[in-house]
Amino acid sequence: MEFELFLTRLVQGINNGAIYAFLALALVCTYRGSKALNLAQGELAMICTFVSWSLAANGVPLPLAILGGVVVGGLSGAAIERTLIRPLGRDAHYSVLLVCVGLFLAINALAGFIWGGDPQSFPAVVPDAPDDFVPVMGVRLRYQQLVILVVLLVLVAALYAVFRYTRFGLSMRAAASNPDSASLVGVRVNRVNAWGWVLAGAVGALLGPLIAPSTTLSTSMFFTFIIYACAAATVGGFDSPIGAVIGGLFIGVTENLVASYVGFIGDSLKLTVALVILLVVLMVKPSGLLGTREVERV
Amino acid sequence: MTSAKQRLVIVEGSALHLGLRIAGALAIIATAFALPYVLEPFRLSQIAGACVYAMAVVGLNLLAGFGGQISLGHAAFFGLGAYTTGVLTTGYGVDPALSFLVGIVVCFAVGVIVAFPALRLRGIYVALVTLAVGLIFPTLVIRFADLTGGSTGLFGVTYQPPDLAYFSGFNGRVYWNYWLAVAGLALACLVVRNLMNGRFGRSVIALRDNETAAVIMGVNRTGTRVVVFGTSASIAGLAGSLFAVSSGLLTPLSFSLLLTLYFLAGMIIGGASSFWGPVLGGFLIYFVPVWSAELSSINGSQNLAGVVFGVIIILITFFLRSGLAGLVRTLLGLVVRVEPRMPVAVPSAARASLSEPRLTERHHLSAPADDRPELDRSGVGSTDAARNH
Amino acid sequence: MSLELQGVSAGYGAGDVLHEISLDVRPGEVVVILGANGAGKTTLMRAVSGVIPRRGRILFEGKDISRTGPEQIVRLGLAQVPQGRGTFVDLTVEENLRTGALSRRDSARVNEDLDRWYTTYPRLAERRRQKAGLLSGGEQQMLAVSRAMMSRPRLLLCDEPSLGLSPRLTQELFASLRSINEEWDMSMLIVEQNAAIALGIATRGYLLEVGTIARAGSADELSDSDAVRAAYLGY
Repeated sequence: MEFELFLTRLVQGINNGAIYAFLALALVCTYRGSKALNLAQGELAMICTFVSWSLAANGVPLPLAILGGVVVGGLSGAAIERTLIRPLGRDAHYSVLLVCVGLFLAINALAGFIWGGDPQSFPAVVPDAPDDFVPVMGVRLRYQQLVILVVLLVLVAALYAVFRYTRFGLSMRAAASNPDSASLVGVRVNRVNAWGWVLAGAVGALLGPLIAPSTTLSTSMFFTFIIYACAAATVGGFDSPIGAVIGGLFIGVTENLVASYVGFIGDSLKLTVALVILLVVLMVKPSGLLGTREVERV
Repeated sequence: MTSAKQRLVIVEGSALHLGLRIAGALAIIATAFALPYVLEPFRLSQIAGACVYAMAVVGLNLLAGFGGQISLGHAAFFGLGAYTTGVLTTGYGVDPALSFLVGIVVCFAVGVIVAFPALRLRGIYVALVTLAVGLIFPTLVIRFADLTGGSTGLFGVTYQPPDLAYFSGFNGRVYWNYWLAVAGLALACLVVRNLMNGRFGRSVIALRDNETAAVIMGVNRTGTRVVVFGTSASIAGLAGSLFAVSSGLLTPLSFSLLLTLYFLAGMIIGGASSFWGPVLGGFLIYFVPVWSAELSSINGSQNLAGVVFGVIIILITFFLRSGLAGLVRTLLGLVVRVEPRMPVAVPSAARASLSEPRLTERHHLSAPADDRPELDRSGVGSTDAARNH
Repeated sequence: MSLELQGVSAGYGAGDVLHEISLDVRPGEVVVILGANGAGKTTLMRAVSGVIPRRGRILFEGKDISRTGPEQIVRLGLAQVPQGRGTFVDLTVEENLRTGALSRRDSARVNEDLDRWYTTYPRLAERRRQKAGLLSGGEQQMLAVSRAMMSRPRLLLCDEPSLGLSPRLTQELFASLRSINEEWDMSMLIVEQNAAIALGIATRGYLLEVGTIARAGSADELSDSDAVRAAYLGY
């Protein structure tokens, strides 16, 4: 009985963690190249999910509708990088953050203006009837939850392979590691960074339709997830995709276990647990578990 | 060159200069006294609400504008002040005035605590610390529901007006809240101005513009940053306390990330590291959503305010780093020129920088590059022409 | 002519650091540019490789590259070993070498070249799977040179290669630069403070002082010149 409760909480933690990791992955994609913390990443994902929803509501088959949202996400990412981020230069943390704050407000309000403030229900990607689950040692793994984890793992494996084994991946890593040297060996650094934003936009737009069936679709659906994603990316290291996934899962599992075993914390302080982890990591090892330490150039 | 001759030239410290400044100050005071007689009570309440927001923006500007440390958690200090007053007055029968003081002290202390981890970090990591702190606050409010009312909220926070004829009428409470807010805003402006006009202010600016150089020159980095953070937090906290007594109802949702982003929007639009720009910005973030909701009955029209703010923030980041304050200063500069008593050949940093709004940021680690503050010769909220130096 | 600069000026916004520089490198030559700190040596390198904007004409093998960006210039066959080595510290040694070949299209022959540099610098082969940031200064310099060579350039720019190296390592490095020059008939333009050792492998040299060419001549002429001896050779 005890063990079953533990297992239930663990599974729940992994499920939540997968969502955090997913969005953290998007944050990492933009941060690696542009050194930009895109606070508006969740909002971008949200509006793309609305696009997918509108397409589906107008008779487009769901997979195509999601693909449409992903394409919009990628293109918006590229457009934002080209017009709003690149002109500010590489060291403009403050300005970039402000631009992202502006984007956050604008995208959030724009979605509210177009689609209204009422939450919408989003069609499930996989069968989601009460008996659509896989039982594992007495714990129900719902298809709807499993699909997020599966897509996440496939995505990370694909990204890892691209980064590790392709010329494009090597260009991206070189550009992130030392932009000046990268351009001297022939890497088109700006173009590579723009691809980071394309990836981020697409990854976010893919996440939205996966979680919307359970969270419902609304303009505020990503408010807490973006915070968790920041925490996950901090734990893993802002420039490490693998770190983002580990960080996301770690936070998801920790907050759920702490919530169930520490009575004082309970479910209402789950987010606090994540934020405290974030603060502790920032104080002890700001570069995170797998991130590169930033060397300050004078 | 001919245009320079056509401009009205005022010598700093001259009778005309002083006169204009006094006139400006008097005009503001007169307006403050006139408003209760001119405006309908609900409009007056809105002015009070706007003053409270403006206070929080003024506090944020001390930290993020002058200090160059962006905060994504200022709504939490605002909320901490609000709940301190709310809990103490409704739960323990503490006098509201005393609760304001407690709120100021509590926020200062929390601000100092947050300042320490932020001291060691730079770039986005400072923003992340404040983000975390800012978001912890609403969760704690919900967790300690016995004390705070949790997500349902805390009701009935009030401050009885003093026993004066002025406040005894039907709208006495509206007047009282209005004057509390106006006084709070004036106090916040004076504190920031006095802090920034002098040695301490120069240390703050030096740390923002070149930390290493400032420390080498003997600026006490820890001390300065901690005081700036604490003061900024306590100003936001007092604003929150006043918000509590004027709105009467507190819910954790009111102090979300969105509110912080609105404060930031107010600071950027009004003009970061200007003295009166944030006041203007605070009024805008309060009134633009109100107006856009009033002007149109289309569902979701209040969202237009958000779109407008977002777009304006981006435009300002690119084209008008010093915000509306900078714009006004430039426009006034076309007509009036204030000359220092001892003529100096160096052109005004502020004006020179307006013509090169980008590209210089890398020299300043995290501050808006071209907002050199006007350390001297500026009147709080004064409309006088002295702003153009 | 491998490289020819005609009246090149460049700087960083506020004012020019280089004033109307003219110089040339003939095929197969090693040309060294001597100069004190702040003379504009690194600026010159950055101007040639396209990292900073510049005015005047820069001809590489007769083609004007003064408006070409660094990514394109390396594709034309002009590679730079940047000052401070520009190591990709969080990539492995082998990945660092492979970045050098990113500008190439003949990926089949990249592995051949990789082996070739591993043979030249066995230390790199031993550490091929290690993070390049863990290498010593001398090893990172070898890595930087071979990374630049991985692009199969026809002209190699070296910016202050002796920086931070011990005298013995500096000797070794210049010996290896000389053998690259001889073996590949590689044209080289080397910026260096250590005049004695640089002139040792150079055909010709230029003396750069506050952004202008103060003297030009063969390596022997410069070594014998009193001005160079007093200022840079110390005897």
